[in-house]
Amino acid sequence: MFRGITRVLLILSIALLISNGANAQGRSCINWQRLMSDLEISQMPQGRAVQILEFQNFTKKDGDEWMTHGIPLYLSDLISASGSVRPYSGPTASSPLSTPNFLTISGLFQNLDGKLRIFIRVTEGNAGIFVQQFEATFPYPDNKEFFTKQASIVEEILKKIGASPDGAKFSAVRDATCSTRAYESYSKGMRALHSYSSGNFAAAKLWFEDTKRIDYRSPLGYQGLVKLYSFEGFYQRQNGKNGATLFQNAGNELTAMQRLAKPAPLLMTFKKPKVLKKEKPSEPKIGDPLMQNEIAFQEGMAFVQSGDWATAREAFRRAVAIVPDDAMSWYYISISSSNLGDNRASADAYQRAAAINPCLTK
Amino acid sequence: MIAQFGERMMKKIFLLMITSFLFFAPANSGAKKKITMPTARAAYHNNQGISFLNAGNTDRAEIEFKTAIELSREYVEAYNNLGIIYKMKGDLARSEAQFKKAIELDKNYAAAYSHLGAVYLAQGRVDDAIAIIKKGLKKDGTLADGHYQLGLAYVEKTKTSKDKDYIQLAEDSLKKATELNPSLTHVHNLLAQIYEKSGDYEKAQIRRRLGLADQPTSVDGWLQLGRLYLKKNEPYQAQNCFLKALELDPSSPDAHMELGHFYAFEGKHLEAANEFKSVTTLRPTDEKAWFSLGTVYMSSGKNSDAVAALRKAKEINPNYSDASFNLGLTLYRMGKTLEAEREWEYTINIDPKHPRALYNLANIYELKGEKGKAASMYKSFIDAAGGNFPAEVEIAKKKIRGG
Repeated sequence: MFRGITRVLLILSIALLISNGANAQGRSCINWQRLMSDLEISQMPQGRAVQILEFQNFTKKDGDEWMTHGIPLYLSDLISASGSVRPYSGPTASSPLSTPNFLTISGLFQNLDGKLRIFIRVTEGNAGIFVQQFEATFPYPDNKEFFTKQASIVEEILKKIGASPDGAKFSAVRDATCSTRAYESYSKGMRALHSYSSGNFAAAKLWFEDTKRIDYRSPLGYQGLVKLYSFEGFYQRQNGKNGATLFQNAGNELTAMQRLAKPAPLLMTFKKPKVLKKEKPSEPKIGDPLMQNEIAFQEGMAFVQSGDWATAREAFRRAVAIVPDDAMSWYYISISSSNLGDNRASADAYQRAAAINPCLTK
Repeated sequence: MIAQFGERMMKKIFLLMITSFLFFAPANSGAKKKITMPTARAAYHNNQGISFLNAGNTDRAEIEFKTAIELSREYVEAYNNLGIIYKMKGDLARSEAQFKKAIELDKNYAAAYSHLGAVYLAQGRVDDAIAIIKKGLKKDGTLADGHYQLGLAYVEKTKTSKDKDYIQLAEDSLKKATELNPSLTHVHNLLAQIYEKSGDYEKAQIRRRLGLADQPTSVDGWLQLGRLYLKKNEPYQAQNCFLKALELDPSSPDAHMELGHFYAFEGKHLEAANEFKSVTTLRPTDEKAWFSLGTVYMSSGKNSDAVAALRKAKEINPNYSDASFNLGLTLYRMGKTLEAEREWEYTINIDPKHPRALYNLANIYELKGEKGKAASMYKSFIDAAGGNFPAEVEIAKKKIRGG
């Protein structure tokens, strides 16, 4: 699959994007915050909703501001490892929750002379009925307990609501890094990315690169960059520009993550080097929906160029099945349908594209 | 209070451990082990690592120890030192692996056994800790740290086992540690704690004094001795100790706090409030100081000031059930029954077995005519009382019987 995307991206890099519908003003035509929130929500599993609010910075010490968003981000990632709970945090925290029995997690943190104390409060429903309040104190910074203590609390919360975490996924999130400084940079990068504003792309990139610099074995920096490049590529495409290089960058980060980001061995090992066999390199698993969407879109574009409108339309439909608000794919579904004589489908797709990005069809 | 002291003491102990048990490797020293000698370059990096560690730069120290290992793969001390770094960073699994590797390379390397025991203790594996530390002490019985760690392990055992032998074993191990190294102040203090807990105040006093003899300018030492005098019902001796601590460090929040408690105990509310106010200025996030200040105000009838101070204590620590309870009590005294009720409901949310809050809530519900809720609260109160509040328990029983 990965070689597939590379091939398609190469085609794209030499081909002209058929994007006569894109508008130079396209970037202001799409509500990116809403689009990405909807995408994130569509990726969530079925289950109880948990809203995670910003944490109060009680002691307001210089350099601690990041935890206001960083702690909810970490809790959210841990909760999402359960596979049966829907965590709403960051850009999705303000999304209206339809279920009455949703939980809300809020809290505060205090930096007390080399120790961090956090309070995590769980309430239920709009009335904010008290469920439980947790407290943890641990050395800060540069101590793994920042992660393990919060993970223990999340385990308790999940147990309380009858959602058992997927052991492997949960451990992967908990043990993603031992470095609070690496997580701080990652969290800052995610905050910049979650603004979904082109003005913050450079800042997000710097923070994710910093995450890799601090802890190159942690997947966090690579994951952040995959998300950033994929979004940037998608963003470019919706604006009628070529985002292929950015998706290539995302693919490169995925490969680097597979090669480098592994849990550090408990001990420095000194095994005799084995004679290396020529092995087929394993292809990175593409989990990012924007990257999957890009693969389908580029397949569609390749068939557009060869005039195979039916196969092209199938590919574009796969693209919107992954990212429902992909205006450009809807636009090409409209064109493909029109070429296939399916005027009804063409009109529907056109309307859908126009609703997402009004500038695209002007 | 004891917990706070414990934390401070552990910090000191850890620093002591680092300085006592990190291993500087002279490049050309004669090895007592059979294993390969580290190269001069590896020894240099090991020593560099120790320097960085002492300067508080654990990241650089880690790299230096790893460099030493990369240069000399059987460098026992470097593994041991790397293990210490990982333990400091809270990465117990990696710490454990380093100490095990050090032992694997040199079975007679006693320090690694006690360090491994300390890791097991931190992981809650007390029996494993005892076993491995004992093994290390068989290799070298003169290692004060080994006896100290063993004492700590036995102290942990006393928390989970009713077997009183563990107290004696802890005492013996800690005594042995101070015999081997008489200037281990923290060990004297730990022994004092054990004696205090068992009610042997005389021996506790001796140990506190021995600790102070080693460190006469220790503010903590004087405060601990003062607290001991309070337990012995010698308040003026206690006051002298607290004043001595303040003389050594006029900006010590702990000394002001203790003096505040002393004045409060003596019924000198104004003096007590002044001391607690000093603590809140020196350490604005000290919830106990705000609580004590609020409680003193409450006792002296300054209800508005009490509400403000207690609200601050609750704001700092939302889990502070006694602050919330006293806040409710003050509001009740001010005639704000509804607010008091809400506050006590908050108290039992965060501490469902807070007997006073349960009893007061039951009374309020009864006054409001909510008989069912009142009866339920009285029942919860009886369960939570745990043998205390006999008069209130009797009243509660009668109320339940009376329907």
